[in-house]
Amino acid sequence: MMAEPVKLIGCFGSPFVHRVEVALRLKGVSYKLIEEDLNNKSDLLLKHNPFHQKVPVLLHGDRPAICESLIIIEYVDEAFHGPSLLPSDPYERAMARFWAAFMYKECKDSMWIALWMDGEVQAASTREMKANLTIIERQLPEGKKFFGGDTIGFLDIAVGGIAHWMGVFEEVAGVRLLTDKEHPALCRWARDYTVDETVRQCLPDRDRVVAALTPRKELYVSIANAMAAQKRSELYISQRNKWVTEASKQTLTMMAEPVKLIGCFGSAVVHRAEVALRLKGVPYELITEDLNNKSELLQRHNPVHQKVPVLLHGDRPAICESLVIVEYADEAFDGPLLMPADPLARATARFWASFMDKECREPMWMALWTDGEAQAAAARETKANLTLIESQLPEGKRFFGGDAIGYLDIALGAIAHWMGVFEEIAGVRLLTEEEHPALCRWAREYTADETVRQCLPDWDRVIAALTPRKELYISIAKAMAAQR
Amino acid sequence: MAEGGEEVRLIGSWASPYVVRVQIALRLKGISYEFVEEDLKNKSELLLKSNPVHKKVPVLIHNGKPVCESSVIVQYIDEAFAGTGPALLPADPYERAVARFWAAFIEDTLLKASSQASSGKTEEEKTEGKEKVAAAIVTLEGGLRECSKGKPFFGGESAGYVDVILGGLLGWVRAIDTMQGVKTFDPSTTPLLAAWAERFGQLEQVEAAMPDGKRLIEYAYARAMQAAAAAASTN
Repeated sequence: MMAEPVKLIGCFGSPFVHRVEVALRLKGVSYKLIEEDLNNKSDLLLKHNPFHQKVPVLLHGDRPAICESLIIIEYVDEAFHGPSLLPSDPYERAMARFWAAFMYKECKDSMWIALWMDGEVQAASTREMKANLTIIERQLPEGKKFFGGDTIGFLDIAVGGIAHWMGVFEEVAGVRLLTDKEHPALCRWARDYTVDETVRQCLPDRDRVVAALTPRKELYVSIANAMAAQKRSELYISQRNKWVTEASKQTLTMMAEPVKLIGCFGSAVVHRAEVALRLKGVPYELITEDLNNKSELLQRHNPVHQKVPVLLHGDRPAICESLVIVEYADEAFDGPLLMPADPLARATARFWASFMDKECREPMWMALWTDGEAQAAAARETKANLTLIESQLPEGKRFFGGDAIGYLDIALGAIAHWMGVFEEIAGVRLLTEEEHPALCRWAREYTADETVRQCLPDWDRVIAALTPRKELYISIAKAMAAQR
Repeated sequence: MAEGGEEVRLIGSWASPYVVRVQIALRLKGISYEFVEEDLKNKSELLLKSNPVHKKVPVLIHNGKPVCESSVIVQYIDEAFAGTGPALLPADPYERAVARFWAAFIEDTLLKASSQASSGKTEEEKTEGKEKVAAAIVTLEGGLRECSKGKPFFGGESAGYVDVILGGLLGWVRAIDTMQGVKTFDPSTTPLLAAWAERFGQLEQVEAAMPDGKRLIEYAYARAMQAAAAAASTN
């Protein structure tokens, strides 16, 4: 095995390549270093690491490539003779692997943000980073030079990046993170590591690395931005989870509080509220209003608009407005989340729900109930709106919310069922298979859904109930057209 | 904009109350941003690309990703910058629902009526619009009582979501009050709102975000003259 040639594909200045070089040298394995230009990846690299196209990559004889620096190091430790890099005791080996993983997983993002951003997010990440360094520092065995004891071992190699590259990045970024004052033992270790005979042979010259990496500063900043955005998303999600947990501590009480929904037959906005409650698994009593003869209950609970739906939860004052009710149901009760967790996805969902309610209603109405040029123009506008909405369907997913019905599906539900009802009464086709195949498919999925079906009013009954209102609809549409 | 920081840009125009809303929200949260003034008669490539659906301001661009619709943007700011500055929406789901209701009321009822009052096609329509506005403001007074529970703002002790949604309009409210010699938030009929307008308008973050009063009045007169000229030329 030791006779077979060893090649290492690497690139200048990479701490991951350095790790592998140190391991090979400590084991006394001779190897050929092939330096890649990562802006212009060679066929050799693309062939041997098709998944990640990253370095380092180890080629040992004719064997298929081994990738991922820590995996390569363990391979080298096992495949070749020479001093062991990993401890022999299984527990110690487990701990070494644990801390190597900790270094990479927990520290990477906070270190990057601490280096390349500023403001509150940088301060928070710096605190986090320094706390992590303290934790790592504590792993240094008492009175020993290295994590591995008297000689460099697996964990020294895994963490070795801190010893050299931290200083490099600190210089490029103009930020100090690792100081003698705060981490004296770790700094001492770093000095011992970098002066070690074997390490020095494959440690790239500091100034050369600074020069090579300084031009990449903008790239690093944008990576840090993306990490910070991700972290904020996570912070928001964990805050949300805290609220939900707090709420669910009361949930047993909350769920026990009766939920009543004031609605009326055939209303698409009432349906929104019903679907949301059912998807969250919240039992409710439906009180059906006759909108020609509004009950005292409705007038009392929705004095502002006297409209349905109205949600009554226990003794609380009423909650009105269908989309406000949907968000309330999502936040007040356990059950699958209707809104996405990520803030940007939430903003997008709210945008399109608002688009539906504010921009689509009128053109749709006029396209159904007017005629002549006004109708033709409104029909064109409606179809353009449907195309825009259709474009929001995620590729290969059944619903706007992904694999399950979400907030936007609920907001758009009228398109899936009521559009067809009105089309039939008006004798106008707006949503067709030819022009909007994906939206039609979504409509079928939505209306076939188990939960939706439980609260979807029967097609024929709705037609029978709404057909007598045709004259009213036409006059509303005429008024709309006059105002435009 | 600080080097190495988050990139937050706001595309807006100085007179738009919807843009002012977003500026107030950003300032209340203490988020630094770059303001990109848009000429709405000659819309930029950036605006058209960032808001292809409406081609309107405001648009918030956060690390290259656009968010549109002022009330959607304000909620986004509250969620995406959850660790920064005060929360604009309360933590309790019920109170959030109440806040969202009143924000929707301001958009769907108050502003719609106001639009009818100013741009109605006939005098009759305009008068009806004015009546609707007056009625909406009285209703909103009740909303303020419900939300504030005796505290200074819709958001309670500190300004929150509804304060921002209504507050964006303050510049225009003041301009109209001056031009027409009226008091939109009349202390005798809507004392809570009148006091709120004073108080909110004096917040440092709000003053910094408001358009200059005189400039707004000049702009309003110029627009009214244009509209009159256009009407005269078609008669």
